[in-house]
Amino acid sequence: MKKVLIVEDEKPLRDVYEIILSTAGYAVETAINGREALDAVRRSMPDFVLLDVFMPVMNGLDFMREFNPAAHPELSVVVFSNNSDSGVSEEARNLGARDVILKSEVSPGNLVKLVGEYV
Amino acid sequence: MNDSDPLSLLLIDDDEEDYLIFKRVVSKMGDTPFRLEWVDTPEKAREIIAEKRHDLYLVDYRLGSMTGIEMLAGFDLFMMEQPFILLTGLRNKDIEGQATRVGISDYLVKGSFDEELLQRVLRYNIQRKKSEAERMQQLKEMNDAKDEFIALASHQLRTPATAVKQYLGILIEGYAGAMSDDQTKFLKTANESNDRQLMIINDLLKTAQLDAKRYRLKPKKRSLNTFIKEVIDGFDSILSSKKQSLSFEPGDDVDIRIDADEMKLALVNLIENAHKYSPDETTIHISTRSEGDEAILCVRDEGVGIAERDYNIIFEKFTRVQNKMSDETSGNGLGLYWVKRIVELHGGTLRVESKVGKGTSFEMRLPL
Repeated sequence: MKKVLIVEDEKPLRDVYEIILSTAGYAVETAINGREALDAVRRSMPDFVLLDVFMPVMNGLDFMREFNPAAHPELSVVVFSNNSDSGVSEEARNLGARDVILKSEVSPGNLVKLVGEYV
Repeated sequence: MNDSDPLSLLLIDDDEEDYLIFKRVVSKMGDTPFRLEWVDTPEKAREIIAEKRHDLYLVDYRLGSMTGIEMLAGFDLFMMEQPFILLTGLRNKDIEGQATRVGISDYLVKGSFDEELLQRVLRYNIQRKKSEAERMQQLKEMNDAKDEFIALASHQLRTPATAVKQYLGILIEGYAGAMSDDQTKFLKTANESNDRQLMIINDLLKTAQLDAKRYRLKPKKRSLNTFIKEVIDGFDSILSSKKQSLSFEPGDDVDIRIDADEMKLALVNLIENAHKYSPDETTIHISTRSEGDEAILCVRDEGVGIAERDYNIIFEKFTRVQNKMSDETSGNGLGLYWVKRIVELHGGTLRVESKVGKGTSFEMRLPL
């Protein structure tokens, strides 16, 4: 079973992504900020990370700086962005994100499809 | 303000005799120490006004090549702390109207004031302008606070609205079990409303971003004509709904520093407006050219047009002007505000020219 790590500080969103991806057949782990995400990947390496950017304690970009996705080519990191954070997507790609998607465009169907493309 | 504060006056008058007469009157104002400076050409006057080192400006209506009021064009007298007083040889209702409209505080008729009247007029206007400037500052702060509130509220609304979208999505796409046709239909309706809500929230947040003092563009050097071709590439399907066409008449290509994401937003808004407010089977014309140190991008339509009295308000937030086509069209009243902000952030200017019933042309001038 493929493993997905969801890193998102807002509970309603975190819960709904977990529901969507576990229904689609993935083993799902969650983290509420970058620091928890670092702990999670050290405990057990997932196949896919869905990463929010703006989180307290440690944000998504700092997580990528510490974790260095380039050193883990077997795993894919996809970053969530909101419309107004346009400068963020370039930085995220530079730090190793395979893709940057808009939260407002995510629907259950295309989220499952997206994960399927990378895993 | 106590009596011994020295007043620094600037007299702007092209006639030396007027200056000498005025100087004599001023010298009789015993109890207030003063400093009177005189400048005799509009060009020199503009330079010195910009230095803002005087307490009050006296401007003669007749300045040779132009009127005193024309000389002041480009200065926002309402936002300045110093009062401007017009000196006129005529008692003229029309000048009164012009003067008040540009923010001139008071006027004196030459030859009909003595040192007592002059003293009172100068001191009173300086006091009044100071308290007006404080009031303007308060209003500006209130306006900023209002904008900040809208930004904060929108930010907080976005997460729950996004969550609703996801949960509706789960139900509609069957992730929580099969739905009846009616259930799916109702959920889809709820989803559409919620999407509309998300759109409004994102529009408000975009506005807040463009308004933010700290907002910095990320400009990169690009070929203007290539950039425009990329933007207009996707428009055929939208325009075909009204059988409209888009014609691009590029001038000589120039390289220009632009933030592509933001400039694309601006150009898309202009084209969408042209599309919305033009009838079927019309053409939208886009052209570029360069003039001196500016690149000029023009978007012209054959649509419903804008009345001259509305030229300023169309660029204001949340404003949509009523016209023959406004009932059929939707919009949040923010598009042109965004275009103007984006052009200003690039150091450029935006101008509109229009004829009601014939069409409208928007001209962006960007520094090279």
